[in-house]
Formats: sequence, C-alpha cells, structure tokens
Amino acid sequence: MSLLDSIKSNFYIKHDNPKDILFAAISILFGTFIGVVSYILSFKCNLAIFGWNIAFVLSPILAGYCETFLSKKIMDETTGAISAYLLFFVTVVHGFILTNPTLGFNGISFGVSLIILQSAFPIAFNYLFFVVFLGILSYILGIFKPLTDKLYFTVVPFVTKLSGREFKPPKYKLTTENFAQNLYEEKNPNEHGILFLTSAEPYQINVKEYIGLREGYVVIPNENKLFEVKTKQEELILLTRFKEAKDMAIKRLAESVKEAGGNGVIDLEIDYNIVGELAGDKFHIAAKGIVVLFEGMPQPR
Amino acid sequence: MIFSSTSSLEGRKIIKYYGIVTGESLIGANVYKDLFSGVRDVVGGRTSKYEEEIQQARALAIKSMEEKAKELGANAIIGLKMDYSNLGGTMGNTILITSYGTAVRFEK
Repeated sequence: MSLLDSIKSNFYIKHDNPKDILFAAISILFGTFIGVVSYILSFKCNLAIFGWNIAFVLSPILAGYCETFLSKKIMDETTGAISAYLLFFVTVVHGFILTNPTLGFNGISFGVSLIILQSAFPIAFNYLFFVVFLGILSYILGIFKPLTDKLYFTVVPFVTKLSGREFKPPKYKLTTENFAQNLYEEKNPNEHGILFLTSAEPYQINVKEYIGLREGYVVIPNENKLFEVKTKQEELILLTRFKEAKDMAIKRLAESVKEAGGNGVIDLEIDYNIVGELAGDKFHIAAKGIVVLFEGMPQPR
Repeated sequence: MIFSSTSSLEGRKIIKYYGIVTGESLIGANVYKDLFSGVRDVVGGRTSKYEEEIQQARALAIKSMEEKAKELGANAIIGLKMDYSNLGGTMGNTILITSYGTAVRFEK
C-alpha cells in the first residue's frame, strides 16, 4: 500500500479522482484556517474562563465543523475532521508549551498527542498501544500481582477480624475450603482386596475368567473460574485433592469389581481430564480396567 | 528397583504381585518462570526453564512411586505408565504429572 493509499484509507477518501483529492485538501485547509483564525482572535480578545482560554476547546471543534461542512457541500462526503486534529496539535504546542511553559507537557497534552497520533496512524498506533503496550503491561502486572495478593491476604483478613466479621477469600484463590471439600483421604488402593495390575498380560498368574470393562470415577467441581496455581500452598492443596480423588476413583472401581464377581483388574489406567473449559473447569478422574477372576486368589466379599 | 513398561521382566520370575503404586507431582507455581517462558514464546527459542521443571517434576513423581513400592517390599515396577495432564484449562499453566505401575517382586 502506497502512502497515498494509506492517506486515502485513513482520511475516508474513497475516490481516485484527483478533483476529489483537491476538494478534500481545500476542505482541510479551510477548516484549519478557520480554526487558526478563531484561536488567534480568542487569544487576542483573551476569551478565558477561570484562566483557561476557550480556544483550547472551541478552535479544534470549529475547525472540524467548518471542514466537514465544506467537504459535505462540495464532495457530499466527509474528510474526517483532520483540521480538528491539526488544531489540537497547534493548541498543545502554542497554548501549553510556548505561551504557558509552566503547564509544560502535562497529562492533557500527552493525551491529545496520543489522539493525534492515533488519528494519523490508526493501525500502527492501535497495534503499538493495544497489543505491544498492554501486552508488556500485563506481563509487568504478572510480576506485581503476587505482591498485591500477599498484601490483600494479610491486610483484609486482619481488618475483617477487627470488625468482627468472617473473612471469605475470593473464589480465584485456591483454598481447602473452596476446592473439592467433599473429598476425603482414602485407604491404600491395594487394601480393597482386589489385585490391580497396570499390565495388560498378567505373567505367571492365570486368568480364570474375563468379566469386562469397569470404571470408577470422581468429578471435582471447580468454582474457581480463573484457575491458576500460583503459590506452593495452592500447589499442595491441588495435589492432595487429586491424590484423594484418584484413591476414591480406585475405591469405586474396586466396589464395581466386587459387584461383578471379580478379584482383579488388568490393564488399569488412571485418567485425569478437564471438562467444561470456559463454562467453569471440572476435573474428571477415572480409574478403568478389565475386570478378571484370577486363579488361586480368594474372591473378595 | 527395575522400572519397566512391559508386562513381564525377561528372564526373571515374578514371585509376588503387590498391586498398583502411584506417584504425582505438579508444575505451575512460579510466576517468574511463566513470565520469561512467555517472552521466549514470543521471541522464539527453547523454554529450557520449563524443560528443567518438567524433568524435576517427573523425577519427583517416579521417586514417590518408587518409595511406595519399596514400602510394600517390591523390587520392580512393571506396566509403568506416565501421564501429563494440563489442569489449567483456559489459563493453562498447571501440569499434573502422574506415574503409576504394578509393584512386583521378582526372584534374583
């Protein structure tokens, strides 16, 4: 895309006709001229409210209005009020920097400069601001978030306790209270009276009967929409819960094996799946395998 | 301790099956590591910090499983399986590493 194409697409000029471009230039110059004249007059007559010259606000608006008015009349199309941005630039440089250096390059002039840049180079500016700048900012906040979290979880519980109320941690923080509290420690999976083998072909042990596929599973609902493990403590909670869930799934499989009349499981597999995704993560922990009746082993009751 | 993903141990006689032994570990609690691996994802290159973390977590899961097998009196684990599950969902920064197998005793 050439520079001229870029200017055309930015300034809403959709025609290749040189006459249109000339009219557009005239409209912009006209708007700018009116804006500058109004700015000079306003300064000469000292049209100020609370020390602020009204030209800072009115001149860009007037310039944009006049430009649009003329371009609509002669082209039946708008040129995008470019003179308004030019006037913003003039007012910032003249009003805030040249005539009143005590104000200097303050927040307003900085914001206005960003608007001017955004209007001149919308795609490049939007990319730099929304992708690059905000991306870097989010990384920086990624560093500071644990610090603010630490501060929050130190100060807020203390203040809540002082006011006699109970502190309820926000749901994004993983605690033993808000994550899978229905789980409990299960006994050793090998104490259910079932022989669990992860191998598919039992060696030196005879299978008397193949009963079929059975599964034991546990679903952990997760209310933490923003699921992220950030501290060692959260990591420990999660790991403990998953171990408990796995032992419960094996226990449920053992019960299913007993019901089916087997005394062993071959090709045992343990699966950890996540379901739900955006609607809220749920964890599905399943223990599954082929239930068999081993020869020479007592049948569980 | 012998670790094998096979159903038997070639040339060795299994004299006792103890049952399943498991080991688990987790990766995901280091924001600085995430930060720099994120940067490397953008600029390219190997995220060696993650590789290191995964190796450590895998070793931890296997060690935990091995200790359980030793407690039972086993000297080998057969039918060994390892699994890597992403628990982070849409956030995707938490990986659960599990290892499990059948604890057995073979005749030396």
